[in-house]
Amino acid sequence: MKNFESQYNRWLDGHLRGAGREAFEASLDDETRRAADGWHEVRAALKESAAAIPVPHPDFLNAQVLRAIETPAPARRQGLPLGRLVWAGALCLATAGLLTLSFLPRETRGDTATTVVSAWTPAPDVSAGAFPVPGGRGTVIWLEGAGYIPGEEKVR
Amino acid sequence: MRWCLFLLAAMALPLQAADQIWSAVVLATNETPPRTPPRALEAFAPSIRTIFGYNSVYLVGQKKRALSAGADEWLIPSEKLFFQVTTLAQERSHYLLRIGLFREKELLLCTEARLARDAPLYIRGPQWGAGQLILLLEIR
Repeated sequence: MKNFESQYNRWLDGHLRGAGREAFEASLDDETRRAADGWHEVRAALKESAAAIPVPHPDFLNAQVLRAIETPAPARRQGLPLGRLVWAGALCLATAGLLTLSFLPRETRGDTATTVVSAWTPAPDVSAGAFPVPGGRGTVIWLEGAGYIPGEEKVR
Repeated sequence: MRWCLFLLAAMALPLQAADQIWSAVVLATNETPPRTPPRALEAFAPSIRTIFGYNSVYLVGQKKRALSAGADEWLIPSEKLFFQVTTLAQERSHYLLRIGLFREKELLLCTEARLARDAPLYIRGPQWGAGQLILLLEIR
């Protein structure tokens, strides 16, 4: 089969000659022969329509093509333009500032809150604890065991 | 620019020479319906409710004194409970005070506290009848 294909290709291309050609053509059936005729027609049509277009000044064109090939490509600009560099710097500074602010330990009550430095009670059965007012700036001292004043006693 | 400086200065709220310390003795109780707080305690009633759990407040007594560095003042908002206040230092936004809380002649509590303006110090005192006595100190 492979031998037939190679011979068929050589026959199509017109490389088979003499007795070899006659013997090969005798072995072909009608269908193969018609296919070969179609192929010859297509090849002839391609040869006619794909002919080279005549160039008016071929030497000039070649010179231009050669010049374009030989001209070195423009070097790429190195680094960032100044404007972009300035914007990038500003952006970096702003980001650094935001990060610093977000990571700084915050004094939530700050200077505007009341705080207890120390608290003690002389009586052993009285104790004192302090805590900030939830959501406010005040502070509470919680006395435990401060006693009881009967309701009939005057406080005012 | 001037307005910015003015705003910054106002935000800093520095203490002034005319600052005063206000003290009050408050009786806190639970009543149904809750009693409307007196005008002097309107700002404190929500905190008293949150902190101490009482829905009604009565003003037993109040007293106000001028503050000055090194001065020793007696604040007697009631006969039984009163304060001795010593101004240890006057800082930019605080007064460092030594406060003694007395129940008649007995010293109940001695504390050193930094009091900022309009940031009250609440002291849970003794119980009285069915209520709780709460003492207030505030720089005004």
